Amino acid sequence: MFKNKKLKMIISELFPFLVVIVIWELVIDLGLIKPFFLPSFSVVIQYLWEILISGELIKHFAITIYRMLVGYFIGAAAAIILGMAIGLSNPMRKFFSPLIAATFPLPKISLLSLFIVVFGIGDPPIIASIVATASFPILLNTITGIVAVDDLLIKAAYNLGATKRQVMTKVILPGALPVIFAGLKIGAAISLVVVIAVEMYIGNTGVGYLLSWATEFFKMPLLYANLIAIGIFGVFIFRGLDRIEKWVIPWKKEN
Amino acid sequence: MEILIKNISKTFNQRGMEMCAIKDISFDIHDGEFFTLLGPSGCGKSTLLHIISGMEKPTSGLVEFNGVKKSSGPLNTMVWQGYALFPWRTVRENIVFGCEVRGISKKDRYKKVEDFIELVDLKGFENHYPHELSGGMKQRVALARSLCNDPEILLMDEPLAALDAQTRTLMQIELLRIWSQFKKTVVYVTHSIDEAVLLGDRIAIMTARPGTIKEIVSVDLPRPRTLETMTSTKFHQLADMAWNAIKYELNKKF
Repeated sequence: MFKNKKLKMIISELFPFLVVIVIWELVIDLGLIKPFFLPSFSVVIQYLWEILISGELIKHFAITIYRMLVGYFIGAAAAIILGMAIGLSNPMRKFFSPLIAATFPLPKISLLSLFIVVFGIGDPPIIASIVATASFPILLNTITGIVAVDDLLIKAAYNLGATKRQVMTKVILPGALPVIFAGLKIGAAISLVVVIAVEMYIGNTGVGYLLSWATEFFKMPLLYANLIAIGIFGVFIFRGLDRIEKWVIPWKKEN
Repeated sequence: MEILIKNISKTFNQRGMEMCAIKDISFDIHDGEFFTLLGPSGCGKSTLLHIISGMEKPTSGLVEFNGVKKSSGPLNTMVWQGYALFPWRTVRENIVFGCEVRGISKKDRYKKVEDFIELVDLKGFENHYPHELSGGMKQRVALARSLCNDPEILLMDEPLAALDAQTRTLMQIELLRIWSQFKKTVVYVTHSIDEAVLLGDRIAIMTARPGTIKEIVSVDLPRPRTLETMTSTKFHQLADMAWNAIKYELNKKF
């Protein structure tokens, strides 16, 4: 019964993609779009398969994932530590609030030129761009999450005999966790976008580089194969994050 | 634990104006007594409760605790109208919180928590999270959490006010049953006359702001009190008396 239900769910989730693929092939067959702009699905899949077994795709993905993870973890760690310090201390909040308000509207990706000057080429400017962009929503959410913890819960904890330190570890941190995690999810989405965009701009390896290379030489099937691979990768990342969220925040209401 | 309240006043500073919330209140609460504070909303009864708990400091006056025995727990624990349960902790983990932060060994505290889960009739819900419980169940968890901490005094701040009328009545009877098993001093704040009469040994009726004690009424209804108590003539006489005392205060504000 359960197995059947799961199968049904998978089929109902895949069905829309099937429809898109059928329309895709139809559009080509009817000659509505030139194959140069949109190669047929089967050709794209063939290319995807080729770069997959040649190891080319995996090589570039590995580099992209490495850059993304390093940038994301540095950014997340720094943002959570700083966010906690700011959220928990009034003087810190007074000091940092104007700075955050001033830097918030600046698109952090515009710092890329600076990073290129400072770090040269290669991984460092790419990683620095991810740190700069992904850390911001995590920082803001950490501060908001900590400040928004219900005052009544803090009072109740003190009344039950908790020390200041216990209130911090047993009330404020778990209370802020759902909001912090929401920030981590936004940060992950931004890191994926930024790593690929920066690789397209300055990389000579990585999935972003592969994309810009395919564009430059008008290798349209390769371009589409890459897009599909990135799409699938993105889905896995967000499914994975949802799993982790359920495990870390088991009390969160199911919607 | 006997509580002596001596000349308590509390003024707040509100937009640069001195606002007197309660004024020169003095009375005693006996050891093991169920004492209710009844008054119109905004009369400062919650403020007085918070002063008794030590969470707020009075502007003048003092609260003395005439303790004879001292149990292992803190002086008082509070049961809040908003439940104040930790959403990330299960029923069991919520109830055990006080023992946990006071450093009672894991084995002892989890043995103890089972008794309280049984006392408040929540067997089978130990591993539920608060958002999976009804309002009545949430307040039972909050009550168990306070009691599991071995307080000398239980302070209750309109704990049933958020419940619907039927659930509230059932919880009042339930609360009396639980109280009869541990017999600790209870200070119970309410704006419901029926509730004050049904639960309390004595009722302190407060005036509108600035809050003072208008009258202290002894409720000589026999215990155990049940749903039938609420239909007795004596109950209605006491409720009428309380209503007459409070009506004047309400009119002052209305």
